[in-house]
Amino acid sequence: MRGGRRRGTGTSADQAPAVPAALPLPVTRAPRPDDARYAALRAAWTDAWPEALGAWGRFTRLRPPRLHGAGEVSGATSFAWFSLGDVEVSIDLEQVLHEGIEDHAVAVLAHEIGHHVYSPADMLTAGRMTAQVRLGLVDLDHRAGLVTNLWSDMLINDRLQTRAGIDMVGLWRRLGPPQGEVMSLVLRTDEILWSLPAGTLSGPGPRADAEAQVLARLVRTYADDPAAGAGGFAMVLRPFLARDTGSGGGQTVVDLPCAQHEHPGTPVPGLATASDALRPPVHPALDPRVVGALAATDDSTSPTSGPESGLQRDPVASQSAGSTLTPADYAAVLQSLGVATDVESAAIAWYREHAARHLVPFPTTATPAAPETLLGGLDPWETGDDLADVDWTATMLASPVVVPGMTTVQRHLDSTTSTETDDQPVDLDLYLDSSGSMPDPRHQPAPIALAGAVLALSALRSGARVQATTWSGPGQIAGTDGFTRDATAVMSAVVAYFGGSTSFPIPLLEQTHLDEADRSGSTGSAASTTTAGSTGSTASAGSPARRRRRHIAVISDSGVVSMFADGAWSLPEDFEPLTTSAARAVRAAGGGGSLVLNVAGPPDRYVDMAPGYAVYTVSAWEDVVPFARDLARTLWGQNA
Amino acid sequence: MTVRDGLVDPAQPLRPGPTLATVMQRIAQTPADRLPAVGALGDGSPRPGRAHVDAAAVVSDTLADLAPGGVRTQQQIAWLRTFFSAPGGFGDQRARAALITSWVLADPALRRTPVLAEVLTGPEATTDWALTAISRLSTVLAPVLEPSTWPSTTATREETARAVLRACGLHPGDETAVDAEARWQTVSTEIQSLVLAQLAEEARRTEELNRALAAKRAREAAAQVSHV
Repeated sequence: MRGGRRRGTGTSADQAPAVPAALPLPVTRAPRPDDARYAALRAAWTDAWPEALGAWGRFTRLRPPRLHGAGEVSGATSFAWFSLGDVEVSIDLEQVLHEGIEDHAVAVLAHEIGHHVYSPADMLTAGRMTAQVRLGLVDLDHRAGLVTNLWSDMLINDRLQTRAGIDMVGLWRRLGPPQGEVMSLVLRTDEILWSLPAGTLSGPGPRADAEAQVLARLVRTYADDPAAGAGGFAMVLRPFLARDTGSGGGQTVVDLPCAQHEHPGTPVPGLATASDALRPPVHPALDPRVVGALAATDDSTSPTSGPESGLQRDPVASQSAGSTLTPADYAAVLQSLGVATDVESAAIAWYREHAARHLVPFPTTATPAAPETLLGGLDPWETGDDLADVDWTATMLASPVVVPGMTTVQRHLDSTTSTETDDQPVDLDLYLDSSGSMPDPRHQPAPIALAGAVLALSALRSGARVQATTWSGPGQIAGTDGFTRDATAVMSAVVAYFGGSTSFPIPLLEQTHLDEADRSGSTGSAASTTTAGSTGSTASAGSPARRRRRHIAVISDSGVVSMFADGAWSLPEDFEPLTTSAARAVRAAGGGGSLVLNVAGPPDRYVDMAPGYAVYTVSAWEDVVPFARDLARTLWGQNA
Repeated sequence: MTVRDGLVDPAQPLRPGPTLATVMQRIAQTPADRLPAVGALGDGSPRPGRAHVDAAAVVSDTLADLAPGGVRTQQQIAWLRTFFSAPGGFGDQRARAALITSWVLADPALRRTPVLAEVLTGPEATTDWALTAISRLSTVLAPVLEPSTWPSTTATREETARAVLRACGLHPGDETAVDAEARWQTVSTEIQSLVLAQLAEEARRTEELNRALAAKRAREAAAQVSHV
């Protein structure tokens, strides 16, 4: 629903914000006692709820709406809004009274229910619709959320009016004529859909009949697939949005539709890997599903052609499949949905979702469980033994007169090896190169970062702990600062990006895996380590955590040479592979090592300089699956 | 934008006729023998061994019912046979359209329309009126909306009903002439084809512009990345 005659305060199209803005959550306050007017209204709208639910079927269930009384809400852009995350409908009764729609409770409530059960119905569909709308709007990203919601509104209203018998016409009439070209177009479309005389809802004035006709066909065509029609809807609306200003030059009621408010951080599972999210939208006038036989104007006049002669093949089948949103697009879609927190969080969600299908089983080591204690016989307790070891009961039974060292006894304890075994996972020490030669994983799909995510998440899934370190030039290090089970902290390191020079943090590698005596003593980047949180247990070579084997993995490109050349760019002339810190570290770690490199060509050079490390190349998206397969095979070979 | 069609005489304003529902109901009740399959009528000549509907005869009978005092001339029958024997399957299409149209025109509810009393002043005028409607429906509506689909859906029934009324110089009695014209603009297949063709052309031009814009944005993005 829109907010009737009120006008918004948004920026004009010319002053579009760089980041698509989501509608802020309305601020709610503690309810105040209703006066008689609000009490009656609240009762009436509560009574209307079952009928509104019934418009969507006898078995539709949803928690009762949240009816906000006078002064309870501020910042709401409409009298009604919904939240897919909360699965809840909210109504601002104060605005209901202001708009004079108190008698249209069923229509308003049924409309809001429609967002939960029909369009978009779930966050994934909302995300797919938003992605399509962004493509259709081309350069009006900041309108994506608005247009997505408007498209859902049209589908819901048409269904309610034509199939459920809900009086949406009466509601629109009560709200009055629209302001601005967009709402005029929307309401003219409704007039066509509902066989109303022109001007019934759209009011007097010029009307975009041609666009309204094609939108009417679009609504009916994609009534069962909201996401597929959203892009075409946006393409039709785009020119109207660009010039949709009121007589005063400000924005129009198009800023005030029935709103969707979500909590930041609400997950949208499946959106990052949705293969149809980037399908190029088709203008409805060019979409065979919409225009049907009318598209084939030359053939349709043929009298021998039957009624189906104009049908053409589904354009969807010819669309490229497999394209998914980039991390940057994904972040923008989340922003439009109002669930984004920041770019990093969006990138983390993107890589986690993409990595999920490639996770490999990380090996574990079976070790005997803790020994069990058995009670044995009695041994003499002699002077000098710990007084606490005296078994006083046995001593008193042996003699009522206690003579230390003569009559005192102590219980002998035996131990037995447990038949149970514990599976000890191999921890992962992950180093991610984020120098300037590496792609920024937060903005573009980076196969190399995905490989890192596969490694880290595979280890975490097996119960291992992960130390993830993002490195670039000297002093540019961020990470978990120790081994941790916190997947978010690990993924933050995977998607972090410096874009600086290349200098592998040898001191950190040595500190983690080598004893004090084995370290080269080099001082470098570790001395000025910048950590992104201390969620993990700092794991030096001598800590208790050292008991578990570790796998060392490095995500890099040709800059990995610095790992074997003590931070330098090239290998020294007297290079001895087996004596490098990296080689000694992987031997000490005991769980093997992996170099995952974004390089072209065979990796022979790196194999020679990195004894103890398995070398993989991941330079393209197609390399990820072979990498995961080879990784699993190698890990099990190294650690079985 | 109002698009003209060949169903109405621009010089004659449309006048109120029966309600739209009345005509739509009549169309929905079209008997099966007035709905022969596509190509079943051929060029109108009888085919031995097969049941055959002679559209010219059916229309002629309808005309006789509409204008009882009229004389069915040989010339009239000959005109109908010529009309229904157009080559390329158009004759078959016209004949099937005429079978349905004549069924609608024979509806007493339509003939009782008060304003038609001024038109149907005699057998000759009635025959001219009916033949005009039949020929308009057969040559204007049938090529864009297959006659066999006319009774099948609400949308096609509405379009056919409005077309019949327009061809008779009428508009639905429960609408104003302006509303009826606006509604016709939105339900007419022919008009929609024209409108969609214009929109399609516009959309193609917009797509070209968008592609150019996208390419420009990609170049700008690449330039930003290369300067990191």
